[in-house]
Amino acid sequence: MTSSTIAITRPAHAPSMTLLAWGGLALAGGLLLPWFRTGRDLASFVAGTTGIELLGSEPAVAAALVCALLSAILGMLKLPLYRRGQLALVTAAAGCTLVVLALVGHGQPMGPAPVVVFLGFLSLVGVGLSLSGYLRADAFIAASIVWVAVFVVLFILYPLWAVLQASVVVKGRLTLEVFGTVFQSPNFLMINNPYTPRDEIRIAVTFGAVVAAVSGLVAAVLARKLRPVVVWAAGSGIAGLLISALYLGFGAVRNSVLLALVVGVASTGLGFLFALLAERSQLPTRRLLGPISILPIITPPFVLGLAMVYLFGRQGFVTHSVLGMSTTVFSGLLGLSIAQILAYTPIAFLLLQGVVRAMDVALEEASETLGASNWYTLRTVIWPLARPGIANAFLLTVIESLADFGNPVVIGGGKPYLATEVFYAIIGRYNPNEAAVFGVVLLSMTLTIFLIQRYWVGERFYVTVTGRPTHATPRKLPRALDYAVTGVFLVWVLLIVLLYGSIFVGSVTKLWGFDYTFTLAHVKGLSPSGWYVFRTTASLSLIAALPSTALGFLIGYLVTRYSFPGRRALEFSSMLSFAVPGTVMGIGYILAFNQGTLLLTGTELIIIMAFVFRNMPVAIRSGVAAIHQIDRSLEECSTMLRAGSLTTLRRVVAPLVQAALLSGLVFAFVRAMTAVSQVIFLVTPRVNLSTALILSYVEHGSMGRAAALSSVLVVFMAVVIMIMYSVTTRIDARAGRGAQAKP
Amino acid sequence: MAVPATQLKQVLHQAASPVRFERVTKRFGTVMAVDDVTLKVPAGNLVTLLGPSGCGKTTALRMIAGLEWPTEGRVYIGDEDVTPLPAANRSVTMVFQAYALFPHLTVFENIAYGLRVMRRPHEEIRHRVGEAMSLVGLPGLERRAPAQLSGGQQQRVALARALVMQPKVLLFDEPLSNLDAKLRKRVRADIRMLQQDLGITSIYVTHDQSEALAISDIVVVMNQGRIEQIGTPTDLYRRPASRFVADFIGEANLLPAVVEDGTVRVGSYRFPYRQPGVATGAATLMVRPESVQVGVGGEGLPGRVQTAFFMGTYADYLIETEAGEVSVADPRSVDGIYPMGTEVRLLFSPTALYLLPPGA
Amino acid sequence: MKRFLLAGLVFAVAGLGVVQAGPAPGRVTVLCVPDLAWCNEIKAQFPRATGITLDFLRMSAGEALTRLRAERANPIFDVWFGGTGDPQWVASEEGLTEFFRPRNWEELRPELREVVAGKYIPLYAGILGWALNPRLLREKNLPEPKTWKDLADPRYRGLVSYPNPTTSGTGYTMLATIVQVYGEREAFELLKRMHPNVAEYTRAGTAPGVLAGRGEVAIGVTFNHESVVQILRGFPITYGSARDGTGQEIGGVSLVKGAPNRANGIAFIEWSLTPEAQRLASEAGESYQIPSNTRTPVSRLSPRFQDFNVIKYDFVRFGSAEVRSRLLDRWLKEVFPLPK
Repeated sequence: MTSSTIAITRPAHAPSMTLLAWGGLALAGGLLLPWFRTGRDLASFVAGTTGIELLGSEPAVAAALVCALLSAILGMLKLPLYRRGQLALVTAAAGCTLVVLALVGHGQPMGPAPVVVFLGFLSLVGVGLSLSGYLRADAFIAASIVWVAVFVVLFILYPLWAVLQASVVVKGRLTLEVFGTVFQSPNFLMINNPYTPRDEIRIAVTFGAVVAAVSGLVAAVLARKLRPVVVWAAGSGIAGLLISALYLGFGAVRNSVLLALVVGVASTGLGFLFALLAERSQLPTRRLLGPISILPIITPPFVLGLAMVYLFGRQGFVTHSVLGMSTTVFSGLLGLSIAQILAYTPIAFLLLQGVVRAMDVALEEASETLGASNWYTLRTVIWPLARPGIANAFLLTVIESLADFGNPVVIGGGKPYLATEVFYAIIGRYNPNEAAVFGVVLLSMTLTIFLIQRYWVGERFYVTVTGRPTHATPRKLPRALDYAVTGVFLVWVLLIVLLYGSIFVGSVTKLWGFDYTFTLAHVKGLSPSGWYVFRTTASLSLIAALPSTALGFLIGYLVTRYSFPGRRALEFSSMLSFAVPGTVMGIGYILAFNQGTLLLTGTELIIIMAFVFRNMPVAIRSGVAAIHQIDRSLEECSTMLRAGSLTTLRRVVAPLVQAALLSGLVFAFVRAMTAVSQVIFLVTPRVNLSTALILSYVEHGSMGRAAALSSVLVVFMAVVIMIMYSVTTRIDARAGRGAQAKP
Repeated sequence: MAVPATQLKQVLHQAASPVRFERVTKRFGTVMAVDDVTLKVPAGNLVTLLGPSGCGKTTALRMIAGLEWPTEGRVYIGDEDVTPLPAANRSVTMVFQAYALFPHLTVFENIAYGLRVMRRPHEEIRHRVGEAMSLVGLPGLERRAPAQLSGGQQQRVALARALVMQPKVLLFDEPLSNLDAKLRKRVRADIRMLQQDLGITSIYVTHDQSEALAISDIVVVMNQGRIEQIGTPTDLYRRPASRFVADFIGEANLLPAVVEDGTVRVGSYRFPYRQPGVATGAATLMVRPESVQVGVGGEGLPGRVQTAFFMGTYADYLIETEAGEVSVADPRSVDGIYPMGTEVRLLFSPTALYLLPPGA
Repeated sequence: MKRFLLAGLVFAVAGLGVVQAGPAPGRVTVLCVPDLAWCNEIKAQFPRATGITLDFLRMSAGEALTRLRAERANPIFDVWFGGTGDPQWVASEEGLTEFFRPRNWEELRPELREVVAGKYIPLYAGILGWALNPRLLREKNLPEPKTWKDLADPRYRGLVSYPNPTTSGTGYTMLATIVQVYGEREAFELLKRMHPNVAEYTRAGTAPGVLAGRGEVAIGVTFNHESVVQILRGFPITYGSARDGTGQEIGGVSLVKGAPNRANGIAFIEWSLTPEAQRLASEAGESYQIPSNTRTPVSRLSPRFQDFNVIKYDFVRFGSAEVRSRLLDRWLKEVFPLPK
């Protein structure tokens, strides 16, 4: 028991254990571990490349280790702490540079030593920033910021840079040639086909003019003013021109854009109707919406496409066996649209459910008390309020559709799409530069939409899902509308049941379309390679889930709670993965990590990294949301009670976001399990992934096996998600007994 | 609140340190939150930072806590310049506005939190937490969750959690704003008693002037990042240094007046009044509503009743005069009030008048 | 909190388990293009014969070429095994693979050795043809096609599929074959007329057979030995080839230049040319080409050269990058984008 005050203010000259520890770690790692590998294998070290052995021959290595030693010594020096921080900043920055120089100079794949040394120096930079007072945060936070920034640069920005570079640099020469060739290729876009008798451009122009004239006329009759006539005529004329040109045109741009427009409109529309249903319906069917909205998360992206073939192909169960038709209209744009609409409606639904829920019922009640009918209220109150949210959902589904790879591969009908051309250019035409150009085009489209969504729509669209019960009971839908929308929804449910059912039935059916006898052959055929691949997928996804969640939450915490230079840039670039289509990131990884000191292709590590950085943005989002729920003064209080930020994170923040962390972990895992587009470029002999395997089954006609493995995946993930829900519900229930985190 | 004599009390008493601001400025971007503030808080005193929201009082408090850092100037606790020190190293604790009780920890664990962070032995933690709990009068609630406590109890847990760390300075950030009016009065009395008993340096932020007047040794009135006036509660009420303080502390009629030799004239009403250090010429006279007598006929500032409300213990008037509107709380009118439109005369009782310094 | 740490530990340990990587000796890494079953079989049998562990990654021939190009500086694979000859030809010309005379060179069929000599080592030969779905043809009341020209018959509208020649070696073989049979001008006229009939230009060469098998199309142009596989899988199809002359492929095996395990690679290639290894293709590997070793028994199921009108395919001319890219470019511009 102390009897005097515990004045913890440390003397300014006390030894700094952090400097000592990180400096020592960098030094020890650099001296004892090998610096280089012979090849891809992470364990294939070059003999004689430990730091001790390199000291004589590699001046950069030696200098870097001296920096490490100096940093460690700084910990013990009798200088004011802030001065030592400044010095540590200098030695650590020099150390980082020297490590990079040593690696680049040598050119061989790096071993564990540079990783340890470099990370040690990064931490020292953080410690230095903190001690010197340049960054108002403790060493842990400062070091985290530095680490995260470097990781984001290395695994998000650098691969994208590699794609950009490959699109304009061919054999070391800067050129726009590849862009030229690609832009002229019918695979990319062809509006006027010289080998057809008709002149597509003239038809499009004529159509545009007719549309302009008609809508101008209508506007003139209705408005009797000049301005609306001009606006309507010009707007619809241009729209008509573009749409007809797209319709008549050919190529990846045409297909992708047309598809994205159709899917965006349909998914958003259906999503909004379902959101109304979920929040406002009086019928019990609305309870089905919750479970159904998770389906796309647990479904590998192309499984619906596969099921479409089962149901609506020429030998499809519905088209052929039931309706007796013989048609292939469902393979190609139409079938693909349906598959994507089924996949993305739930996403739009989840976004719009928040919008509908956040709508202030009082406004509607006000409208009603003013004598407006339900329909009138819907049109004049609900619709304008929901409009920004709807724009938001539309743009996001457009991005999803543009970036989708799995469905076009399975039921694209052999037509070019931007996301698939990236892949085919590499694996069909063996041309990484062409792939890069397609990638750049696709990326610029998704990025533009992403920016519009974020800065234009995003600003008008604030939905805070607080989970607080609203006191007013929501208005019910008009009865007729309720039944009509429920009808649409039931058709949708039926379709979903049929599609998933066909996958399950297909996996135990001899030969779909011809021989519906029951068999376990496909399921048995999964062993050994199918099961082995499934296990690999599961373990890699599991390994990747933890860092992606931890990193995501950490970034979420840093950007919400601290201000530091480059905060917005960090936030933006770590969210980039939302806008970067997987195939683009995939070639980025291939181009960036295939040679030199960063050689990582062919290892499990690169797949893990791909998973981590692909799924991190989701974790950031849920991390930010969860942390916003915590009153900031809890952390400040912990700080004032002498806890460092790591302790605060561990003892205050983590327990309070436990449920969010757990579900973040599970979703990262599930998303990794179902990922295709990025990792399809990265699979190797020893490391194959389920989704890639399913695709190759489909390609080689083993539809039964593909269905079997898909079923296994879907069931497995449904079980995982259900377990997670029950656990988080329990955590929430327990937390519910505790106080509200926010007053 | 029963306060047993304990070791903790002694320790706290010894620990109490003065706090000093030296030309402290804090800018957020272009916004000047605290503007060149110099301030001394003597050890063992309770000093209140009072002002409207956005006046910089909370920022000032957070700079003492180490949750914000001054753009310019230094902060001292005792003799030590704590400006570069992080919050964790300052031996300062705080009672937060919403108490900031950790919802996932029990009362005991909440209070023990800081000791656990410091890795004190279990036995010591048990002992010290017990001491702190009895000090604030919370025995037997160790195992409760914060959500199971009443507002007043939560407040005490927050206080105990702050005291158990044996701080040199205790900070309060609007600690009563989450309580209802009745409870607020009791809790603030408890806080004041405990503070005086412990003799701990306390800095208290509030926007509620009555709370500030009731609880403080010294009140610092802040406005737009600057200190308007520092003084005891009576000083501030009787002798405000500026129109802002006069207006902010209680209700005040600020009337244009002319100071002549030994007399003051407001409109046509001239009465004898002397205030040392006030030069002749134009001035502003502060008249508190309760020091105005309303009568009919005779001497006084002539006026007409604009509104009149019967308030039980007094009558509330708004009276239009040649010097402007005058608000009156007349306790003698309980038997009957002058109706609207009555021509009246206002008399000012000289003891409750104050001439504001020119230029204030 | 402890639970999180524990979970972290578990993850880390699991991670180490997966990221373990064996040492290089006693290992060979193969880019495997043929059917997965065949790849699995060599993975199982080669170690038994030699004690060397074999890893493979299955990918299409085009993918294989891209992969080797990308990894030129630092190859991961030792051997490129199987698949259409064209990309192996290209790889050889680009110096991605190196030719060597295997021990058992003299045992290989001379007609195969001659046409590809010096570029890659012949592994098998296959005959171009089409998979037919008789049920669908009967349903539509249509006869089986006999010649390439029949595929342009408007009665087959939407019932034909052939691989996209820009992404599939099979597709290019078809294109080159028609050009060799009819001359370039007439060939392209034919392909344009065929276009409305084509339901889908598939990316992979085997896919049209799959489509025919699933009954999506009635006629799927693919190699006949691929059709055999689909038939054995239970798809109700038959196969045939154009009587006006059909093409062929010579599948090969190549040693990757700069292979990390070169000696093991050579050992694998020489083993893969032995009758014992080549038998695996039909016996366990679901692959029914004509094996290149004369001593390897030809499977009863394999389509044989004497039964079809196989043209004297000019590998040198149509393997050259210049002719190839001209034909592909022309197809891409004149045929592919036509409206249907």
